[in-house]
Amino acid sequence: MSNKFFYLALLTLLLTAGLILSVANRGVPRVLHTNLENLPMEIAGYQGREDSFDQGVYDALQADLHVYRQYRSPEGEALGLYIGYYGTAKGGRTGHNPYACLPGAGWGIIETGTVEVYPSYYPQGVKVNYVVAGKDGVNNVMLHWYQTAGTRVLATGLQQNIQRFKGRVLHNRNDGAYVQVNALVPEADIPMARSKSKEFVREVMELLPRHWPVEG
Amino acid sequence: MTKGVQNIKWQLPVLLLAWAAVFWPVLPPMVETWLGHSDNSHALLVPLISLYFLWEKREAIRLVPVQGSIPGLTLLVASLAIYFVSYAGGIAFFARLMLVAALIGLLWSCLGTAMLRLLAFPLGFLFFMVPIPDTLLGMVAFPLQLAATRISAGLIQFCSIPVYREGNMLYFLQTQLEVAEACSGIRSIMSLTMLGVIFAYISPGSGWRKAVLILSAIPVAMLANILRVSGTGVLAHFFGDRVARGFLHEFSGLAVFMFGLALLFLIYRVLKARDAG
Repeated sequence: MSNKFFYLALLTLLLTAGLILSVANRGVPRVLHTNLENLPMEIAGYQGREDSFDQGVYDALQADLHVYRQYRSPEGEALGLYIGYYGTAKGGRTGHNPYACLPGAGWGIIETGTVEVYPSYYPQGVKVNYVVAGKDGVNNVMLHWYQTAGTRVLATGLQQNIQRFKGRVLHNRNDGAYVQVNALVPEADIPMARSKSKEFVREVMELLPRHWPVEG
Repeated sequence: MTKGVQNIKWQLPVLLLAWAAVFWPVLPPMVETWLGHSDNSHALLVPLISLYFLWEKREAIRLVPVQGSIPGLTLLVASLAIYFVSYAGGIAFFARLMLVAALIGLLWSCLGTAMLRLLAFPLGFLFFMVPIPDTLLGMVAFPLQLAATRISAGLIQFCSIPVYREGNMLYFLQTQLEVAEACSGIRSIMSLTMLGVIFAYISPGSGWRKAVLILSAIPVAMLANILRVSGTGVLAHFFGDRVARGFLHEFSGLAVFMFGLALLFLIYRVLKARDAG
């Protein structure tokens, strides 16, 4: 073996080892306070109550924290709120998404797209995903998005991956949450459910940064 | 024995030790993934298979002249740079890919292009030990899961057994079955593709026939999985859902994998016979 190549390769490896060691010394932050469970039980005039999934769902999702609630307006309109939070140690995101999980549960996806929501930290508006799925004559109107770093709202998994990468390199933190608001309605009520969900989502977005988990 | 060849005896172990030290932070988590997630359990065999093919080449290795390679050094530096950024950014998949890429770059830079050509298969085969990310796996597994359930429901109905499908659930008169993510067939696809690559490597045939052999692993695995789900459904109709759990479930998984393997071997023999003809 040529000494020149041996020493060049060894030098490169040792240099990388030093860099890796310096990054490894930063450690992986742990979730100290999840906080999201302290979101108010009253949001946008809707009153909430806790709900739960089957254990199998929690086992599949493997989040650090699940918030699952049913909110009801005084007029009787119901909205479901689900938040799955993943700390930096869990990579900040879920491996599941509604476009796969809904058909898996027997729902047929009828419509997909995005809608704009206007929380105070995005005065120009921010896009979230919009899905309508149907099963046995019931329509599931769903708005969902990924939230990271408290105030970052991202519609797609790709955007979230880029944000996670940047957050981890620059701040050693890439925790994130999958947030979903849904309403089960007959077909005629879809436009109204979409509009009410948008308003509810705006309120949830206002609350999330104040209740964002603490890692350290 | 030339001085260069004498040096290899101490220089190569030093470099391999340094390589292992650099990638140590990603090694134990990767082994944990192999052991903890059945979709990746085939990866446990990959280093052993690579070592076997390396051992087979021991005579040829001695005859190949050793020389440095600038492209090899470039690959090593690029792999280590990507590894560092991936590690700092928490992207395990790329960091693990670079584990293999850096090893290839290291051996290429220090031993030369002729040696790399000789070691290409055992080294390239190591990519099979890198676990596929859950998100990517999910993107493939979910449609497969749905397709397996849909086709199996059709086959079960063809056997005059009433069944109602809703998503990944099969409802029978007495019981119900969930076609879980693990039943999507993705595990069989990965392990049979790996075996297809080995068959293709040891098969003396032409390039396109090797490609057919590797690609045929996908439909073979899907067919085997559909037969497993359908068979489980038929048995569940007659004997209840206990057949979908425990020993019978595990046994059917093994039996169907063996069926897939046999089918793959049959394709290998047919292609080999055609090449010989």
